[in-house]
Amino acid sequence: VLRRALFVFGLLIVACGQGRTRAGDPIRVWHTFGPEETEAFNEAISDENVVSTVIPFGRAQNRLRDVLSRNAPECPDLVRMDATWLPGFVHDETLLQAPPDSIDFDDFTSESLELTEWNHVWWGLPQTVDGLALLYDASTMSRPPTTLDAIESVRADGYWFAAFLRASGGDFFHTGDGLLDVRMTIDAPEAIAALARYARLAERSPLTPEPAGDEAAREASAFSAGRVKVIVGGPWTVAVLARAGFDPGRLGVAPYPAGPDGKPAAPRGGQVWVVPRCARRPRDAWRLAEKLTSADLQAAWSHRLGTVPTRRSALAKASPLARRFAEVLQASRPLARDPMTPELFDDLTPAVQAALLGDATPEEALAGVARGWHRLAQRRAQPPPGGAP
Amino acid sequence: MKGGLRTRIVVLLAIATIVPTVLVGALAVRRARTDVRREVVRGHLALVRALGAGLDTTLQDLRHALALAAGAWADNPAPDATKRQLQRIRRELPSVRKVAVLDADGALVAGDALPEAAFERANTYGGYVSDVIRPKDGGPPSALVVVQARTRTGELAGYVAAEIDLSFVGDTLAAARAGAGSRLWVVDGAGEPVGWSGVVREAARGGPTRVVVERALASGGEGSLEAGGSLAVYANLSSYQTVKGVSWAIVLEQPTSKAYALAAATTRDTILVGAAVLFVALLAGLIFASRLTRPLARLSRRVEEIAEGTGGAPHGSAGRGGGEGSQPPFEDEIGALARRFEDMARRVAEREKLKEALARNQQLASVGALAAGVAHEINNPLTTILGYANLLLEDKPPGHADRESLELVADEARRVQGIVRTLLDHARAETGPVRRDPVDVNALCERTVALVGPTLKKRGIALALDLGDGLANPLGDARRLEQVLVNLAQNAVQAMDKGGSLRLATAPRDGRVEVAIADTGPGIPEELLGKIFDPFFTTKGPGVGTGLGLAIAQQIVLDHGGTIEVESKVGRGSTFKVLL
Repeated sequence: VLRRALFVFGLLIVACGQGRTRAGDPIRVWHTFGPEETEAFNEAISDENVVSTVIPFGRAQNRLRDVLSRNAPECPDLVRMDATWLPGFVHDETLLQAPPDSIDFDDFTSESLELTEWNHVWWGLPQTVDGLALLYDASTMSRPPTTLDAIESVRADGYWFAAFLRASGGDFFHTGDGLLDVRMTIDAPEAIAALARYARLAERSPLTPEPAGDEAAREASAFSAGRVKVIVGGPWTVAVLARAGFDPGRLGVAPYPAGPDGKPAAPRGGQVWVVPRCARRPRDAWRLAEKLTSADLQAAWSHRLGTVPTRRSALAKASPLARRFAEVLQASRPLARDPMTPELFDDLTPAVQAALLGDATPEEALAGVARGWHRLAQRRAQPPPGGAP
Repeated sequence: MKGGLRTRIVVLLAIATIVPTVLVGALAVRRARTDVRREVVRGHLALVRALGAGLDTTLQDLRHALALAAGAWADNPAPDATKRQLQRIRRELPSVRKVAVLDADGALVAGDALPEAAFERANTYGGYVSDVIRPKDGGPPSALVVVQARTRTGELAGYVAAEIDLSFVGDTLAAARAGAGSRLWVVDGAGEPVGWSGVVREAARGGPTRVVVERALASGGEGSLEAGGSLAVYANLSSYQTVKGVSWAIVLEQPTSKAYALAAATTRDTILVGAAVLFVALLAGLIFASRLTRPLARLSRRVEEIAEGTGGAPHGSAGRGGGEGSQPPFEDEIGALARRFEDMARRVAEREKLKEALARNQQLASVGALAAGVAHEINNPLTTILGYANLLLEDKPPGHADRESLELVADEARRVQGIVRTLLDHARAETGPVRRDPVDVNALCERTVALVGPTLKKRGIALALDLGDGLANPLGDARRLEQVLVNLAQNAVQAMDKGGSLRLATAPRDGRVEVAIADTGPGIPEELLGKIFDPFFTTKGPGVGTGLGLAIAQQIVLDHGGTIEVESKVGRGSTFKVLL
């Protein structure tokens, strides 16, 4: 009888515990850090009850969308994601608002807060700010590069072309005065001319674009060896260059050239910590996010990883290189804050690759992009088609 | 430290041996274990790295093959071409379970029916590898691989989606050459097994240790750790490697007992060798300590003997390894110490003898001075008494009533006179100068025999005179030396009141002359042997002896630079030996 009673009692305990969060449950964190950042991150949470999972960057958006929309059991409590993804997840109503009462937002820079804002609400804590700038070897170049023609390495990537496009006077869309006055300009003559110029730069470059290869490592190797003098990169490039043997102390950082109208051309972005709606421990997740964006940690990571802090108090203690990036990134401009923005590059990048490899003329390539974006916009405006019959 | 010297030496040697042996052994073991463990971990990581690279290559090849087919279809979407592309995919990619071509809006163009997710998740970064799909019937897991079909100009034309049978993951792991007891898994982002090594296929279904999975998925790279086994009984060495492009990880677990078997064997061998070295060292130490302490123990015994007054005579060498009287096999510090100690004992014994002789001389000198004074004071009135007694006797005819008393007075006076004369002789022997004339010892013996001959006959004592030939003639005072022999002979005669035999012999000894006077009397008890040369010591009854005879004899012999010794056994007689 006693054994049966104990068994029933045990079952009751198990049943009552189902679906509840226990105090001893770890905080589940998903992130897209690279190897060096992962090491630093794991050290930072070593005194926390955290289970973290690295999600490959190229897979993270889809996987997150899947898990968060299903309210899946493996739902993470805290996620580090690219800032351009945030509007899409907010649009899907899968994120929690950041609790403004318990967090000192005043310390964050305006450039970083724009990463977490959508529809006038903050949805996360900015982890780092990034964007594109001109990188050069300051030990061999007495003056920083200032023009697009100085660029000696061309990436077959839509994000890199976006900066070049805006610096050449083009853009993805033209926004008029009215709310709905938005016109697609990716296939406009300015864009076609920009892509043609981009392809000419690629032809002139010592590095032939190889979309299938590891462009970042190849470019860093050439830069370290002095075969290319000016490349386009962001704060993340510092770690890649260091891995290739380049002394970060020699790295010069110059603003990406602005457009003809003086508007900043380089896209500004970054990474944010967000808490999904399906999180089991949101309060602990926000506390951990605050710790991971603390001034001391951001300053330490700026010295160690070259990341740009998002807090003003951290910038004061940051590495000179990170402070320089922060200064240069002030002269950059975020991409359109729209749920569709990340998917734009799905069409743009193959088109840029086709143009650089000579498989398509700039006109052909960008016309295809325009058709793809129209299709995307239509799909966004409609419910999903339902997949295969 | 308590205990004997040998014990202390052995303990010290043990400490001196054990401490460095244990320290060196521990360091060697630690280094060996560290090295072996590092190599084991390196081997594990190399294996999972190779497997990870292999899986990544397989997945990439799959995606590339699908991407090529998708590109071909995008540039030529005719139905026949589409059909050929699908047939080619099924033929060349055996792991493809289902495959379909979708248009840019996600509508099925050709091929198999696939889950809705095949389209939904395809619009980012050129393609998608889904999470692992696990059939409810327990069949092999699968995954969706979706690639975008783009035309030559990069424009999206549609998608090629395939459901991949992930059995090849388990087959790859099963073919891997892992160490004894090793288990291999590939887990997905949720930590669920995708495939496992065939050797432990059934047992491995539960998946690797949770903490290892968490560490692997959190690392984004590779690593190794020791953690408890699935049953929390055995510790495992676990190594992991994430698979590029997907949130998978390869985990290799091996019981530490098997992974570090070489380290354990090295440790065991090192301990055995260390123990053997210790044993040999201790044995050698024990032997060394025994050899070291044996002469010291002998020395200790000698010291005790000397302290008890029974070991004054020097022994043979006490060197190491040598028995008493034997020569040491080699000279060392201990042997030298023993030899010097024996020399010291010899010198101490000689010094004691000299001290005794000096004390005796001083005693005899004082006795002699006293005797001379007493004799001087007594002799004059005694001469008067004896003279008047003789004078009165001459006046008394035989048979006179006073004659007996007067004779008694005269006899006693003469006896006293004899005593006085003896005292004066002693005094003279003590203080008088020693003449240095060659002495015929045999002649002295013959005169002695002549002097004591009548008494011998009277007491029925047999005489044996055994005189050696070619004796040296030592320098000395013949008259006083004769007194010595006479004293010794009279002493012997007095000891044999019931008859016996007296032997007087001379013989050469070490270039000198030895005179031996032996009797067959009752002998001298051992405890009295040391006292017989003391003045006034006697065992005779009152009025029989003065106790000065042997003291005077010894004094005279010593004055001549000789020695006098006695050997005696109770009931068998005594022998006095005079060496001149």
